[in-house]
Amino acid sequence: MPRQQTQQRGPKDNSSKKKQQPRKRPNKALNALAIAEQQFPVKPKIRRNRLGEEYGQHNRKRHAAGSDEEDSDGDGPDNKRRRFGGDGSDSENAGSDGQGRRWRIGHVDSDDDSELDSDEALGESDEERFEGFTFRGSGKPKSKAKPKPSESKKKSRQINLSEDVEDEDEDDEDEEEDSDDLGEDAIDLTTAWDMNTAAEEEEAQAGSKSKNREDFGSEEDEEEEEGDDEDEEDSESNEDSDFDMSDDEDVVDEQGLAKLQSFVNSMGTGSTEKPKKKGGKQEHTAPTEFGLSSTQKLTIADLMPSITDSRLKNSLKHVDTAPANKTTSGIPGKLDAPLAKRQQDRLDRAAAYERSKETMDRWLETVKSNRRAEHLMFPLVDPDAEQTHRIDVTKPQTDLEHAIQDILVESGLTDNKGKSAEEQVQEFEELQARKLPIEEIRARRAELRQRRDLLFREEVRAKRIKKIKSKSYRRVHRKEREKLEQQERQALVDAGVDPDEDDREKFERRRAEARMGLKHKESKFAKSLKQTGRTAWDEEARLGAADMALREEELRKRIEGKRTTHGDEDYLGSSSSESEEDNPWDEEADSDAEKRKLRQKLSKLEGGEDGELELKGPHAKLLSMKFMQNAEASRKAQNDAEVRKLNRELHGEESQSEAESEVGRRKFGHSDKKKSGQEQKSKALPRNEFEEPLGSDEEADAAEQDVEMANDRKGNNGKPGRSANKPRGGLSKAPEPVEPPAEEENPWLVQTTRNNRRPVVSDNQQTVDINLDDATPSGQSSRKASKKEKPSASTQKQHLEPQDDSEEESVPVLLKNHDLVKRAFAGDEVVQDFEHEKRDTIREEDDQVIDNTLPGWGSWAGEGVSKKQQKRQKRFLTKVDGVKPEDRKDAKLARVIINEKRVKKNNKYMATQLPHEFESKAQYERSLRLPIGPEWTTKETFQNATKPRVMVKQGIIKPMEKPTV
Amino acid sequence: MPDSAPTTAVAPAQRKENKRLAEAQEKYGRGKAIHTQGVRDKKLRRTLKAVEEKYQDAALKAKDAEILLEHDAGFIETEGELERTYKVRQDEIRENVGIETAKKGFELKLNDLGPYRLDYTRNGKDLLLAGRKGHVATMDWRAGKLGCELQLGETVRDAKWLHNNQYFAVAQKKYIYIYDHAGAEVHCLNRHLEPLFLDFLPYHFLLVGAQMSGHLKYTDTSTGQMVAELPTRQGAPTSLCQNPWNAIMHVGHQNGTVTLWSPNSQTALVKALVHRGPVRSMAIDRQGRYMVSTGQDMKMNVWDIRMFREVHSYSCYQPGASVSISDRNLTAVGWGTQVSVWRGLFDAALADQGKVQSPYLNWGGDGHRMESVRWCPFEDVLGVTHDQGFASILVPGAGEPNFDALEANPYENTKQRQEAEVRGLLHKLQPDMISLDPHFIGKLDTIRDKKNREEKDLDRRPEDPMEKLKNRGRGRNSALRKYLRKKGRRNVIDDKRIKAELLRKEHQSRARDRLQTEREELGPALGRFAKREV
Repeated sequence: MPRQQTQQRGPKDNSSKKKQQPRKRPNKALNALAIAEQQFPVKPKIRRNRLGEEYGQHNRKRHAAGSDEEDSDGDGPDNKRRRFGGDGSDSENAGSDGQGRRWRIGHVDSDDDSELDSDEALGESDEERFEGFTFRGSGKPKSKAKPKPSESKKKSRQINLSEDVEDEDEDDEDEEEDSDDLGEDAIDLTTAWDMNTAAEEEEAQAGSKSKNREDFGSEEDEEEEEGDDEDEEDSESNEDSDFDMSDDEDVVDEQGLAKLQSFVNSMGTGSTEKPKKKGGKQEHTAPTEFGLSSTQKLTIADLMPSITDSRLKNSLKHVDTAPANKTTSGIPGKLDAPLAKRQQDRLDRAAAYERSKETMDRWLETVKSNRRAEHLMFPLVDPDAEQTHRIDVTKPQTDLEHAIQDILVESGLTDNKGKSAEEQVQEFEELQARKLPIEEIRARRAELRQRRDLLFREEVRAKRIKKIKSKSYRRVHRKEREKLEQQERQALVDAGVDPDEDDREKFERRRAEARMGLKHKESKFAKSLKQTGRTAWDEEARLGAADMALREEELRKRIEGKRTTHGDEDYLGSSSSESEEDNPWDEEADSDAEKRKLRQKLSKLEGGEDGELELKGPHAKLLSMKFMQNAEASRKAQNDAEVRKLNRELHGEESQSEAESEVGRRKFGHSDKKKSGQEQKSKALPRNEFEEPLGSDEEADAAEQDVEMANDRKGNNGKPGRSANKPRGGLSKAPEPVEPPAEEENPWLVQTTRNNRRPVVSDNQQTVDINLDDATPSGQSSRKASKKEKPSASTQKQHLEPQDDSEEESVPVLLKNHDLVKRAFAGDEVVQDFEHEKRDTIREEDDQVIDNTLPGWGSWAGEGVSKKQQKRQKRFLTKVDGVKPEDRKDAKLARVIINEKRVKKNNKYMATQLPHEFESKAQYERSLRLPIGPEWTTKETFQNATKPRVMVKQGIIKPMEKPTV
Repeated sequence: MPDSAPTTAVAPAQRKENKRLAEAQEKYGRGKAIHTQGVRDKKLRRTLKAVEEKYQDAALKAKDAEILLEHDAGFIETEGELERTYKVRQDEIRENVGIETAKKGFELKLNDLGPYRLDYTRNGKDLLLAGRKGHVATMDWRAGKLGCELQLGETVRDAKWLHNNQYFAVAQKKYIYIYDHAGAEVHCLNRHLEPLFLDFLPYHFLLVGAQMSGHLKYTDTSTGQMVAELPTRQGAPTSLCQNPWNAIMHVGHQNGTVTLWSPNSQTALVKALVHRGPVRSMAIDRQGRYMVSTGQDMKMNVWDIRMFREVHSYSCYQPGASVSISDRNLTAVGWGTQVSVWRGLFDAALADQGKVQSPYLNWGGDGHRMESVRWCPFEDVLGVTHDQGFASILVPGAGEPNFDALEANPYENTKQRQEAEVRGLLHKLQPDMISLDPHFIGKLDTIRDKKNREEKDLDRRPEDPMEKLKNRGRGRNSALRKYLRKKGRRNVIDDKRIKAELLRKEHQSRARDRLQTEREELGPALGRFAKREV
């Protein structure tokens, strides 16, 4: 094995020196294949030939004596064979003579190859040429065509190997070759020997060459490069010819002249294709190198193929192309006769047209710009004319101005004439300029412009650079800043100062989002886990991954949770905005229902507490003891706080005022615990009493709700207590309105902190939504109203009133009102009517099927027609398209019917078709978007919009100046 | 917290410019710019770009012209948390404003001739009072000068100024009459029978009367022609108001519905159920976005009339008798004996916040039943009429501080008034131009455009009947099956039928495949229950 490797390496090294990189790979791959297939008989090898790997056979052929080692040395020899494909064709034949059977097989194989190759790879023209060869050579040349490559390769390999392995090679063939090598001097002899051999060789070369070229186009270069080893190659080719001689003596002599002719013919075609190559081949016969016959001159182009160095080649590229371009300049002969006049005129006209076109083209830009201009004012403004009309320096007139002028002069900012320094400079320059010839001024200006241009360009570049720089710069700084901020926050937290709720929330949210983002998901750790698959075996890593997943989930939840609460808020916040979905009159379905439900729950919670108290009622003595009350109150306060918190959470955000109110509440809440406790009790009692009958009542549900709300009301509204404390004068001019809902208390707090309404501006605003607005208009009226309403109020309310304090009278008024209203309008089935109407309208405007059947048309009609016959009668139905219920504009609006009919009278103000130029409706309508009238825009805009396109000033209007360029 | 994502560095001047542009676009912009990038035609692209530039320029100029608006608007602000604006009384306000302004708050005691209706001219200079029992008076209320005073001796239900202070219409017992500034009867519109409410569309010169019979009649006051008579078919209307943005009339009905009318359609454009009981009063803001209505059901509802949905519903202690919305979106509601002024109703609706919790100002409670409230244009003054007379109350921040003299000039002289009248007549809009969307003028009529295009397109393809059959309906009554059932049985085999049969086969095979897959999914045990599509 090692030896094989050396052998492999040997040739390979050689080849690699000459070859480019990509060549190696496929060979290697095939090499492995070759080894594997070595064990199998010939067939697969033949297959491999198709792939261009013939070395196995050659090896076998060459070392008939059985040197198996060389079987595997694929790469180098393979390449070589290809390279020298053309050269060794004849010697192969000779080889076959010497070695007999196997060579034949080889021939046949390669012959097959040749056919296959030509079929597959050759272009048609090439094929033809090739066919010519094969036919001419009858049996033999055909076989010759292919074997050459192998032979040549072999030889070259031999030469290459000769340094390493020559001693070992003791085959006949090798010896022969050695002798050939020795016989380099014999070149001349061989060439002189026989023209036929040369011809044959030529053919073969041409054929195989072309084929090779087709097959391994890229190898051509190598081939040419190979030409570098001139000595070797020459010797080889000479050897080839030697072999050829021996061959031809046997076989080819008979063909003689015919062959020569055909060769000449073929040369004709071959030469058109590759003159260089041909030259190269001929060279074998001629004494000079580079394939030139003695008559031809040697040009660089001829030398080109022999250059291996790519750099050198590159440098010579232009040399290569130049001669091709060079054409023999004909000697100026006689002058032609002048063209016919007509022709001449035509040419003249064309030329003249070109000229005039050029001059006219100068106007193109001007015309274009004038056409595109929105307004044209004649006489046209000269763009070159100096626009700046300098205002003359004003003379100081007043004393103050004089004084200022003096100061300016003193400080050297102006001279006595009132000109500033800059102006002076400018003036001077102008003076100078006047003296200079105009060309110079122009040149100067051009230079100046150029400089400015350059400067500007630099500026732009600098800006870009700055931008690029600043990107990273900013990134760094941002990170720093963030870090600092975080530290600060941390410090704040450490110091016990809670950061703003909003801020914290925002921050957390952002952080969560960031961590959800790709950055964290694709962190190094995560990536490494994924890549190494460490989780499979590493407990810790697995834990880490799980942890990560968990956190991700949590983060997602946090984000989502946030969102959902927001949604809730929206829903609750926008009170009745969603109202068309639900039945507007249904108390339950009111948009506040949700809120109320929650509130109910909370109130129930409280009710439960009260109930507890109630239960304990029997041991009221114990409870009424001070410490018990205290404890109770504190517990209550705690619970209240909890509930409040819950409430707040319900509403998500906490407004500033609420926060403030909280502070206030804390302050006051604990101070009157006792009172609250007592009051609580006294409160609880009547309510429960009053609740019981409700339970038994028929309208339990509704009533309960009402009561609940009434209670809330009682609790919420600061009014009751206030009004009790300081009853207001009923009829003042500017009445003092009720305490607004904004100041209403938390229902939960009412019991505990009875008297301090003011500070307890709590978060109940949202919870009490329904009633609040009602309460607002004015307290007085509400009171009045309540008084008015009282007699008409329901029994429940009457029931309620006597037990409540006088303060509470005013509270449930609105609820009563609601109830009353509800009851009052109970008879009108407004909603049902409306729905009915809507249904009708929808049906009416939907698709209509019209029965156009004429009874008696095409069948019998009238009395006595059986049902069957009636049925059989054809019906003529026409369908009139309408508006589908789901396509209606009011499809989603329960309380609205929108007419779908087109208003025909409006149509006359609409465009019947898309005006020209516009591609779409949107474009057209956009162009109409701004009204032109003076009412909608400023005067300037209006005037601009209504200015005529062309304005001509009176007087002489000079023609436009000719454009200079 | 500074923005974590740094924006691209923009020069401060540039940034300022951008900001200015953005502000201008927001306030004066004309909607989104059209995308010019995708336009293939070069010339069109250029013109569109030019249009956009013009719009931008116009917006910027309008923004710059703001410098001419010298007056600021402002409201009563509380100093502390505990102060409430609605506790501020009129006398307090009057004490604290300038003398001239204070003079604008006054009361007229008109005890005898019963609840009054009022109307201000468009420039807010003149006041028209009409008592139920036939007393009609006009006055230049700032100067306190009486214009004319009429004792008509019959029921007066409503009165309205026409385009300027020279004429006014009065809805009397039987007909509508038009009087001139001196109180001389000019016209009797005897086609308006038993008018209940009046309104006037200034740009169209249309006088609208709602009749007891439920008809809505439009009379062109410039030509005297009756433009439209629309039957509402809902009995006597309970309220009437106009949408100043699109000149659509809103009529409130006994059953709580509000119908929207234009003179061009015999049926209501929109019908909305706004209240449970009769709609007592309605008002629409200047931009035509929101409608506030009060009903007998003691509700005050805020509707978004662009989307026709209720935004908020407020409850009142008593049914609101009259609503009015000022130029700066203060809403005055007269209910019972009180008037309350609400601020920011629409902002709250816009921001999707909760309801407004408390009114901005309160007035009344003196035992006078409120009849109607109207805002005086360009003044911080609310005119209130009740059964005992008229009161002009000061509501800081109600009026538009900067008037456009081209539109309505509070200080106009005779000449200007005359010119404005002529100009108004020249610019008169046709009644046909009234539509729910006032921008429709000049827009493309898509239906006719399509028709036109189809007619023009000579080599259009006739519709493929098979396309129709392809995807309509499924199951037993699909269009395809129906077709095959009805017409496919005939012994005529034509192209269409072959196609239909092919199509059917395809459908069948698809159904079979689906069934197969479903069976496979269900497994061998449950596969038999796979439902076969018909």
